[in-house]
Amino acid sequence: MRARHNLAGSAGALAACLDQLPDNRRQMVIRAYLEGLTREELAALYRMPVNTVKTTLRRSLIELRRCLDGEAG
Amino acid sequence: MAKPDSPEELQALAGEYVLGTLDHEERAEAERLLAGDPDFASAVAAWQHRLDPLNAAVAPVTPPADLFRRIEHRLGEPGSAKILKLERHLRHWRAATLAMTALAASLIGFIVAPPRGQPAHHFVAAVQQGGQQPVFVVAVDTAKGIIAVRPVAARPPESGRDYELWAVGGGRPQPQSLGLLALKDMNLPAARLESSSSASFGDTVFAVSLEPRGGSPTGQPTGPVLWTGKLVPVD
Repeated sequence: MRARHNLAGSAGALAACLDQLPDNRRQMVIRAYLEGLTREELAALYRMPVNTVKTTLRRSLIELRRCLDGEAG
Repeated sequence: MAKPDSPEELQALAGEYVLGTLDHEERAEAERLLAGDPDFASAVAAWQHRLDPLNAAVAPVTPPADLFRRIEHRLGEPGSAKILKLERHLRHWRAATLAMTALAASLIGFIVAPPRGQPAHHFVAAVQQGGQQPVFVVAVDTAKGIIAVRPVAARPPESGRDYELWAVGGGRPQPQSLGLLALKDMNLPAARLESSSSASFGDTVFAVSLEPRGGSPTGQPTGPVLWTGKLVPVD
């Protein structure tokens, strides 16, 4: 049960931190991870240049990390 | 490409490595660092840990409609790193279908994003035998009126036989045939399912039986039931 609680904690924290990202940026992170979309595919889907996808993803990751690690203490 | 020169760059590279969005050259650099740079290796491990809960969230979601087509397409590109990546994501997804937990519900809203205040209309069943990897995944969208069936690990039935899909339980007096299954993505009409009361809809179990070619001659399963999966609501 302990492991389950820990898992629930990290899932909840991730959900909360993802929720703080704007919709498009949240979706891009999730879809890259779960659907295996490439930068090029994300660029086509979200109608932005590939380089913008890269900077957008990185900014989202940096914000996620700050949010998650802040919460973890 | 040189090693990232700021801690933030290193984090971004590690994060994108785990996300799977690096281009070929960046990925090669990340893999080189992973082998020789403990800072980078621990950054990657931390990212894997941070993002891992998403794998649980994927359970109740129908995989992207074109995932399998894309895998097939990329199998035609020998040596492509994308194949490995897609295999990894497919594996995530398959593993996650075995673990339909309440946890998933906490993240699922990001992906399915149902309109607020509406009753559940997405249901999913991982059709399998004894907790093994799903053989078929069945997703029901009552709003659209479709039952989407996706073969995950199904092999062709023996010669002269067909797989037939049944809805069992959920207030049904006897199994209802939903049709024959082909080893490809299929959309079946959900009309029959909806004839059962919605209160017991979630108690429906899908079963796949092995029938003579063309389906059961009696309207009820006549061959062995090979796999089953319970229908669970996902929103």
